[in-house]
Amino acid sequence: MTAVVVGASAGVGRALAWELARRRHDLLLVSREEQDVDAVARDLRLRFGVRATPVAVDLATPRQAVRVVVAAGKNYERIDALLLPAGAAVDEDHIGADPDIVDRLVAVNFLSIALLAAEFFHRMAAEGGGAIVGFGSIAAARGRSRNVVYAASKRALTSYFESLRHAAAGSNVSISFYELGFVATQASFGRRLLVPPTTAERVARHVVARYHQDRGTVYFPWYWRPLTMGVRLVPWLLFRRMSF
Amino acid sequence: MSLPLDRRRESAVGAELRLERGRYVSFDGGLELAVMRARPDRYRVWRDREVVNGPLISRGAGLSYVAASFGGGATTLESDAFDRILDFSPQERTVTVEAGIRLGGLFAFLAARGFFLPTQPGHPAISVGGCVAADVHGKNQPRDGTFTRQVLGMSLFHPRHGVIDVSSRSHPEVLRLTCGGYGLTGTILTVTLRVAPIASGAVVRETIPIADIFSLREEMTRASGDADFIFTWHDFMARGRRFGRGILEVGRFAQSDEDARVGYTTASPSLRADARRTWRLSLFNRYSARAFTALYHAYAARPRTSRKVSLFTGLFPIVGRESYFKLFGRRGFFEYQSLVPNDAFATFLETIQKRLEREPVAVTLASTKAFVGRPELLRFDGTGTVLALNFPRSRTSADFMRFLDDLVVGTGSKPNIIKDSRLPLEVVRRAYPEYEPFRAALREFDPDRIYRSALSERLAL
Repeated sequence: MTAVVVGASAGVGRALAWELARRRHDLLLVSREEQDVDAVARDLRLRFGVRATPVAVDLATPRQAVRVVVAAGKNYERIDALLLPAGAAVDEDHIGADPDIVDRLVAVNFLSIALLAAEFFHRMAAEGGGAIVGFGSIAAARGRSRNVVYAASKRALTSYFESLRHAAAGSNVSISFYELGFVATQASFGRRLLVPPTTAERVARHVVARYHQDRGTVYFPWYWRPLTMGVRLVPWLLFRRMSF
Repeated sequence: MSLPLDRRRESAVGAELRLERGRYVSFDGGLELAVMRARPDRYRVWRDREVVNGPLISRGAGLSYVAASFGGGATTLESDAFDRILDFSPQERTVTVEAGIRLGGLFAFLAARGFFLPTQPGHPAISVGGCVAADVHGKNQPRDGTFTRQVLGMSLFHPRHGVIDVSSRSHPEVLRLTCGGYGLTGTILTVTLRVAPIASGAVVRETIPIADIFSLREEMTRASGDADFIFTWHDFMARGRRFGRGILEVGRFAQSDEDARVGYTTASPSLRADARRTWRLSLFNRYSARAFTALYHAYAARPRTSRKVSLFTGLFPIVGRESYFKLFGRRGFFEYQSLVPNDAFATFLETIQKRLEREPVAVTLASTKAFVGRPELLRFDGTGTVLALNFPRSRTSADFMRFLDDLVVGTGSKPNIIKDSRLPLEVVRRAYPEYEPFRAALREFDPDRIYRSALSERLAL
C-alpha cells in the first residue's frame, strides 16, 4: 500500500506518516521543509523498512507544487491514500493584512490542497479506488477578527471536500474530512487553551485506522462537534465582545 | 509599519518558534525554577537561527540530578521533536540519531537488528544528547570507556557558528569540549555512535556476597575477568564489622539465547523529575534507612544460583525500581559519586566509617564500580574506584555532603558534577585540574556565553 502525506514534516503530518509506515505503507512525504521531511523519511525507512520518498515543494506556489507531487507519485504503481494535513497560520492574519500574506495563506491552506485532491481523485478513480483525507480546523467554526484568512480558507476547504465527496459518490474513492480541535503541536505551544489539546499521535491513530471509510466531515475529538455548534450559537451581542 | 517582503514571507510560513512559561525541578529535588521554554520541531529553527535572543540551554529527558538543562536565565530548548534515527550501517557498526532520542527507543531499534550500545546509563528514558553532555558511563567502564568513546561525530548548533559538523576530522576541539561539556557548547542536533554486535539477547547474572568491603578490590579484580557488567552494592548502615557488607553483581552475555527472553522491548518505562516528587513525605530517616538496607542486603545476598535476565534488564537495571527515588519524597535526595584513586580507597572508606559511627546519617545506597581512564576537562573519568552514596535530603546529610567535599579534596578524588546539585565551585576547581582550560576553551568558542544553565552559573563557567 502507498500513501501520500502532504505536510509531513512535523505535527499531525509527521504522526500520520509514522502510523502509516507502522502499517506497512510505502510513503511519499511532501513538505516545504526539506531537511525535516528527509529526516522523517529516513527514520521510517530504517524503522519499518518501507519505501519513503521525501518531496520538497512550497505549497505557496500551487500549480508548481501540484506538478512536482503528481510527477513524484508516478514512481508508485498505485496510490491508496492521499492525506492533506498541511496548513499555515500567522499572527498577522487580520482584516487588512498585507495582500501577499493573504495570497500565501489562501494558496497553502486552500488552493494547493484542493488542486492536489482533484488530481489524485482522478488518478484513484481511474485506478479503481483510494482514499482522500482532508483536515480542517475548529478555528473556522465562526469568523473572528483573528486568523481571518486561515479560517476562511479552512471553511472553503470544508465545502470543497463536501463537493469532492459528492463527485466521488459512485466511485471507489472514499472522502473524509477531519475538523480538528486543539492538537499539541507547535501552533498551540505556549497558548493557554480553554480545552486541553489532543495529541498528534491520537489523531494519526484514529485517522489511519479509518481512511478507507467514506466518512465525510468528522469532528475529532468528537466533543468538538457540540462545542463548535455552541460557538456558532453564541448571540451576536455577546460574541462581538469576545476576543479569542 | 510594513516589513520587507522576504521577512514577511518567512513569517507567513506559520508556526514560528513559540515560547511558554514552565517549571522544572532537578531530578534530585534540589533546585526548582520557573523558566521560559520552547520545543523546536523543525530544522529551520537551527538553519535560520530562529532562536530567541538571550541565553539558551538544551534539554533531553531532564534526568540529570543537577539543574543542567534549565536555569541561568536561559530559555530551555526541549529536544523531544528531534528523536529520529537518520542512518544505520551494520557493516560500519555505526548509527546516526537525533540527540533527543531516548536510549530505550534506540535500544529497541538496534537490538532488533543485532546491535547495542555497550556504554549506557541505567534507565532507558535518558536521552542520547544527555549521555554525550554528561559523558555517562556504563557497567564495564574499564573495558568500554565512557560514552565519549562511542561518539564518532555530531552536528551542533550555536547561534554564533550556525550548524557545524563536529568530529575527529572536523572541529575536533569542539568535539572534545562538547563530550562531557554539560550542553554548554550548544545544542547537539545529531550524534553518530559506534555500536557493537549483540553476543546474545540474554545476560547471565551472578551475585557474590561480600562480607568485608575492605577486600572489595581483590574481589572485583577476581570477578571482572570475563564479566560484561560488574558493580557492587553495600549496606553502609550496618555497624562495626558488618559495615559495608554487600554484594558483587556480575553479568555475562549468555553464550546462546536458547531459552532467553530476547529482551528488545517496546515498553518505554517512564522516569521524570517532576513525577519523582509525587509522594510528599520521605520514607527515609536513619531508622528506616537501616531497616531498608538490612532488608535489601538479606534479599540480595541470599544464596542463589546464577540466573538469566534479558539484555534490556541487564543494561537498564533501574527499570522497575523507579519508585526508589519517590521514597525520598518531595524534598528529594543527595547523591555523592566520587572517583577515588585506588591507593586512597581504604582511607576513604575508613574515614567515612568513622564519621558515620560518630554522627549517623541515613545512607540508602552505596555502590561501587571500577574505573580505568584518563581524566580530561570536566569529564567524570580516570582510574580508581567509583563510590556512589545516596542520602535523603536533610540538614544532617547536607553536613555529611560537606564532609565528603573535604574528604574528596583531601584524597585527590573527583566528584561527579552531574550528580550533586550543591557541589561547590571550590571543590570542582580543586578536583578538576583542567577546570581553567575548559573554561577558557568554552569562552573562546562561545564568547558571549549564550549557553548557560543553573549548573554553569554555580560553577562560574
